[in-house]
Amino acid sequence: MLSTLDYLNLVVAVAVVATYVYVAYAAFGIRRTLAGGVYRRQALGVCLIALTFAADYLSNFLPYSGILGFLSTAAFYAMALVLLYWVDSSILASRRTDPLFRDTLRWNRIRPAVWVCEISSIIVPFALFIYYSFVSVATIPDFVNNLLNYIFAVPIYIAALAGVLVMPMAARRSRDSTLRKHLEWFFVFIATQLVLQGGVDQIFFSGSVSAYNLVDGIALIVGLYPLYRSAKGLVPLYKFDVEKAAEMGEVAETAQGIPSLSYRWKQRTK
Amino acid sequence: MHPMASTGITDLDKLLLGEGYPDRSAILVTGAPGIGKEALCYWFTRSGLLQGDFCLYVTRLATREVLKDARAFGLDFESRVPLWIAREGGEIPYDYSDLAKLSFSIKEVLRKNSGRRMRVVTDVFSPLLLMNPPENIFRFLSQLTADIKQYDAVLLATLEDGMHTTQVITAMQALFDGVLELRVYEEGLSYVPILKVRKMMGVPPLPGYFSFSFTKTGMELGAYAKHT
Repeated sequence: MLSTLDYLNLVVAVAVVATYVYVAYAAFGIRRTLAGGVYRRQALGVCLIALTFAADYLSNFLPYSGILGFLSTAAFYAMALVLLYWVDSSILASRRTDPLFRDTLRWNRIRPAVWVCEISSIIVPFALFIYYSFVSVATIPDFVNNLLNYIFAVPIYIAALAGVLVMPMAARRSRDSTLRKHLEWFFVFIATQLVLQGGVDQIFFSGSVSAYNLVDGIALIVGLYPLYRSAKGLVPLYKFDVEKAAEMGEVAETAQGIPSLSYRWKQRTK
Repeated sequence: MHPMASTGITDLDKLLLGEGYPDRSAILVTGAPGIGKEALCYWFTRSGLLQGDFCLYVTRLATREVLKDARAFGLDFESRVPLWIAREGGEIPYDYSDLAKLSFSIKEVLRKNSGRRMRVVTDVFSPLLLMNPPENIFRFLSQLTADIKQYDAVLLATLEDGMHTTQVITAMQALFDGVLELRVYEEGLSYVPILKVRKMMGVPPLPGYFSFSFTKTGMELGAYAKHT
């Protein structure tokens, strides 16, 4: 029998999946309009972040062992990987719009090392998890368990550290107002997740799994708007007003490829 | 003397009455970072090199970065390369703080190759405008366009959207003979990159908006909303 909290969790989970898939779709749509490799990677990063944050939240409902535990761990590490992917591409994009083209904290030189650290810090716990879950019949020794506790979250710390140390300086050096706005909204998104998912739920709701998951879901819903604005802030977006364009003599009243849905709706209802 | 300089992109040539940018003209491409302004520069340079024109590429990047970017669009400058004024790896070093030297270097290159048809491509105006008073850049540009008109040359320059005030962008557009605008328009749930020819010397006003996409063979244009 499901409790009220379980029903609430179900509603929140459906809302999170639907809205985050839409944000991912928006970011991917913008990626398709871009030609520059760094900017396309940045847009893809936002798209994957929306998907992996939703996937990581859904993995809260999975057990922590066996194949489902494997999927749950994979979702967490995928989130860490795409976060670093976005940080990396955003720093490179910031450099492109720095008039002095400065290499902030020598990021271009250290980024291969950062990626090596990130990938190795994922491989080690993953290998231990797979070994003790699927290969070895022995239970996990205490020292391995302790080690896993310490190194489990390292990939996310690496991504966060790269973002916290290099990103603000790179953003300040960039003179692109669109990129800055994108980064500001993304910062608001990450801040809401850190406060709610990394603080409030752990401090007040760690006793109840359902309440804990509910707070995580609400955190993602709170973070939805900033993430959406961040995705739409990847490039300046313009609205095409065919009536205004026709007035200016730029298109005929019977213009082809009339773009906006609202315009089509207005025409239909005239 | 050639009347026009091919853009290197068949669809864009067709749009500009079948031949390309007018000779002895300065063309500006504006748009957000990453939208594909540089791709127009790469295709224009490659087209010039293939036709035997002398090409000068003035960039704020290192030459290897430009070559890497160009390769991503399917262009390889390995066999035929332009003359570079670049931050790194070029024949002449680029220094944003010494406008007089930059102006002199470009003028010298144009003078030395005055017997040939020339193409000058540059992405330095945005950083120059950010690092110098706009009036200085307007003077520098006026001098450059005067040189372009004196020789058999075409200048193609890019300007980043979102990095300058509207006044600066309008003033820059006024100083060029042709202006292409690349923008992303929101259409319901989708996003469409659109090219608009704001003005073009010697070409009647081109009403219409054209959606575009880049392929390994160039740029494909399609009528988005046009005069019918």
